[in-house]
Amino acid sequence: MSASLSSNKANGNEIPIELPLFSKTQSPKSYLFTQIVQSHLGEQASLIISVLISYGRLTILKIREHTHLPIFNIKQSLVSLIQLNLVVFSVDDRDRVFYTFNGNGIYKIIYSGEIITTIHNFYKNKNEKEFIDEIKVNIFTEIVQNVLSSGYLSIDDYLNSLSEHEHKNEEQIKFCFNQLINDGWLKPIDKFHFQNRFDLYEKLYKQQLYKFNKENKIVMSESKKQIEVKKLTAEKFQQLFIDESDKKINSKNSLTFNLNRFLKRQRSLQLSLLCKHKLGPLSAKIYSIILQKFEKNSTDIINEKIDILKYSNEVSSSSTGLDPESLENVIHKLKLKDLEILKFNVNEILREIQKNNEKNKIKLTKSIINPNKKRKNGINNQENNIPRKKIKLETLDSLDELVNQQEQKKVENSMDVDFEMDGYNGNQNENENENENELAILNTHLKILSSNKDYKFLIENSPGSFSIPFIDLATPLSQNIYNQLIKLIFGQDSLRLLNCVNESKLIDEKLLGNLILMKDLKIRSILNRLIQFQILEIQEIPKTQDRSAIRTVFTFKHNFTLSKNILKNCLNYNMAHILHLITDKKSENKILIDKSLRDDVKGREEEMLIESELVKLNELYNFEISNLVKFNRLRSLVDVFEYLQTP
Amino acid sequence: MSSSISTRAEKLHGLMLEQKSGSIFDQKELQILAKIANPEDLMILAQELINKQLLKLVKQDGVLKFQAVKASEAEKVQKMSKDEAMIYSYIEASGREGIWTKTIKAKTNLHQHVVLRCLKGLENQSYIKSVKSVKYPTRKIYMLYHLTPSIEVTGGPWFTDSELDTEFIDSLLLVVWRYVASKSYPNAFNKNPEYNAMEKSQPPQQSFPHTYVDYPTAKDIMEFISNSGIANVELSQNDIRALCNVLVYDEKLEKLHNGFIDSYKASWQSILENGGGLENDVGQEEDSPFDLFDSYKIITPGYNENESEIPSDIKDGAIYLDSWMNG
Repeated sequence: MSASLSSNKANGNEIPIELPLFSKTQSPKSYLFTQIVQSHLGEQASLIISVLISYGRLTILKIREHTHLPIFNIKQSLVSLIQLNLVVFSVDDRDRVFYTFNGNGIYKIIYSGEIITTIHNFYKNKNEKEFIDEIKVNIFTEIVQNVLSSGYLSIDDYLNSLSEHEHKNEEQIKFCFNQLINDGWLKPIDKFHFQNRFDLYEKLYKQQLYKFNKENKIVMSESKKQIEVKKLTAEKFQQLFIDESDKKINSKNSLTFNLNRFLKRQRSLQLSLLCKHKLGPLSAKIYSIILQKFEKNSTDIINEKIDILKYSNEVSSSSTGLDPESLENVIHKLKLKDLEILKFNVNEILREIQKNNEKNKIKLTKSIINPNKKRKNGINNQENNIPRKKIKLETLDSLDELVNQQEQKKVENSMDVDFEMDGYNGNQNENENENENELAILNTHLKILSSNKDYKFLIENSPGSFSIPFIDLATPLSQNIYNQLIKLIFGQDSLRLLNCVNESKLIDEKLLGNLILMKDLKIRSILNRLIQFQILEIQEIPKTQDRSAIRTVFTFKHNFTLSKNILKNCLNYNMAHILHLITDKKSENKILIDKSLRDDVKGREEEMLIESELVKLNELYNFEISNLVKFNRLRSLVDVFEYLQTP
Repeated sequence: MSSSISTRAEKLHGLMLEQKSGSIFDQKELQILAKIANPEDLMILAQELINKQLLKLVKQDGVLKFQAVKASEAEKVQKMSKDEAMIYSYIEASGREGIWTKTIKAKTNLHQHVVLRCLKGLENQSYIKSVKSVKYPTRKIYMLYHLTPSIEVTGGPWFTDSELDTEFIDSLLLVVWRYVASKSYPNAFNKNPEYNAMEKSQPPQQSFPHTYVDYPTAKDIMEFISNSGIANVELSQNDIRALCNVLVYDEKLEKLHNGFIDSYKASWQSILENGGGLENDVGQEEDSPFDLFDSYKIITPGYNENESEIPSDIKDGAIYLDSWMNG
């Protein structure tokens, strides 16, 4: 797959040994992507990627011009790159083929390790609930691993590659494929999978424009015409993919990994972590169960509708930039769709919780405490003259009646149930009583999840009915991680200052000092650091006409989007740098590594290698492991800023 | 008192001083007080007192009023030079706020040297004192020797000798947070052995219901602090509010919007970071991503304030921001 650089000359052309400096300097992302491709597909593929990132879309001849690689090598690398969806192509009217870098493809490689772990854990958890055996869990993982390494795969391809012994599991494999497709992890590739979507959109736009001009002879302003044609193009474009997705999947269909599905899982994990640190572990566990149940049906994170909006803005437009209002409209529609689809009630969640086995069982009883309940029931009701509903639990009938007839009543009195059930000693149908008690406590937990003003984990549509505001939660999530990073890197005082600036929007040093109760010198040193890292911006307010610096007041403000992007770049750069360090270390010890990989040495290292070599080898592996851990930690932070946020 | 003033004037002065200190009288009130029907007679007496610095004229709401000056005060002023007396009168009028030297100069229209000489003289006789203003640290502000500077000048309870007392603030912040935290979650800090023995049967988190409204308010916190006698200065509700806001900026407290003004709740993260929370955690998701919020378990909070305490792996750049910017 990879094109090696064994010699400097091939077909009379000079092959560059090292990646050009611009692959690192043009952007942190370019540095990261080229490093990733270099470690997976080799230097030549990495060079091509670097050139494509730099120049946009190029033909093979142009790629040769910039990379100085022989055409044969370029074609060989492009096959691998297209197969892994790192590069997409488009054909223009003159049948020239252009190649473009595809950002989404590379994330499948960056995430590959995480994806395999996620699939394993996902089906391991299912195993506990639905009795999927361990062998099947391994098959799920193997299938996804194979799909990721080859980019796409059909069921037949996979079965053909199996040994005779493995063929015994054919039925199980088919079942696993089926399950993976149903759970949304695998999706069939459409005929546009390898094509540049924007070019496709542009082509369609031109066709629609031609058709429109031909059919409509009435005089119309150019901008009005553009709007009409863009509308038609967007409909047509969406229809193309709907037609493709309607096709029935068979064993010959090529399947690819669905990155969106994985991102949804990641988002759920990040949200439940946020919940854990804001509300507590039990709330987080309940929330996690809810998220896992509904994440699959939520709107896609890399959303086609937003992509279309961007294409439509870029295609033959004289205006500058994307209209934020139209973007907001699309996001609003997605939010409404989410709220509609992701509706659930307390009973559904209780059933889901009860599916958990003994090991993972969630203890709900005594998790809600109302210290002044008994005291207040008597006093407050009289004081406030508020008629309060009181549930009598002497007989089970009254409770059943309540549960069946009025869900709202049950919600309002949930704490009454909880408290009185604690001391309930009756022996009539204890299981059902316990169930009702759990239902009431669970309802209170859901209410807690929906009542936090800063972090609205759930939205209560009507009493007892909730939904998950995925899109609204994206900004607080990234803001929270960002703040935590500031706290860890710059210290608690910096967080205090930043939060104060954030709340005040624009603030000067003096007022800042009064609000955060910190000494002027300290404030100045924190401000300096935060400005240095472009977390804060200075706004100059001149007081005199000559803008005298002594009389000028300097105020400070924080632009979250801007500073978040800078932070994202830093994290991307760090990730790339870690990979670079690993590659460097490996090339430094190339002889030792080659030796350890030799057939006669492999497995017998202790016999064949001298002690100093063994120590060095051990050091090398430890270095790689610790750096890969760092890489993955950074990556999980980038997730939040890259994908898990409102576009 | 000087024997050169008439008995009637002396009597009027005595009557005026018998009233509440600092009382101001208009002409009619003085007439009633001194039982003098004819305003002209009163004016003669007033003029006599004014000449002896025993009476001060004050203009209030456009009406001329009179204020008695103690004999000792009058004597003090009488001993002063004309310039000193003028400067003294402006300083006296500024009250507890004090007056800036530049303002004195502008108001008296005296040369700077004269103003400085007079101020020095008055200061040497302990008639006035120089105070440091928190609001304008570079200005030289004067006020009468026996007066206590106002909060505007001293900066309020957070300042000791015109310096922000961060140690005092930090200890108060801790007390406030601890008080709010103890009222925010049931059993969040319950670490007694009896409870721990029961803990396994307890849920991993105990919360108050969403309808719970007894979270502490600024007033509750103020009462707690004043009852406990922790602070030797009197703190107002506004001061407590300022402390709570700092804790909100620190993300240790959350401001609640439950219909009660200034109601606060401690954040769960702050409780965890300070060793609270229940121990038997619910099984963490196995595929859970790297949790930045758990770093408090390995990193000492505020480590970057003292570089020598930074663990080596953090120093080596577990998380580093500047590599791209400087790279």
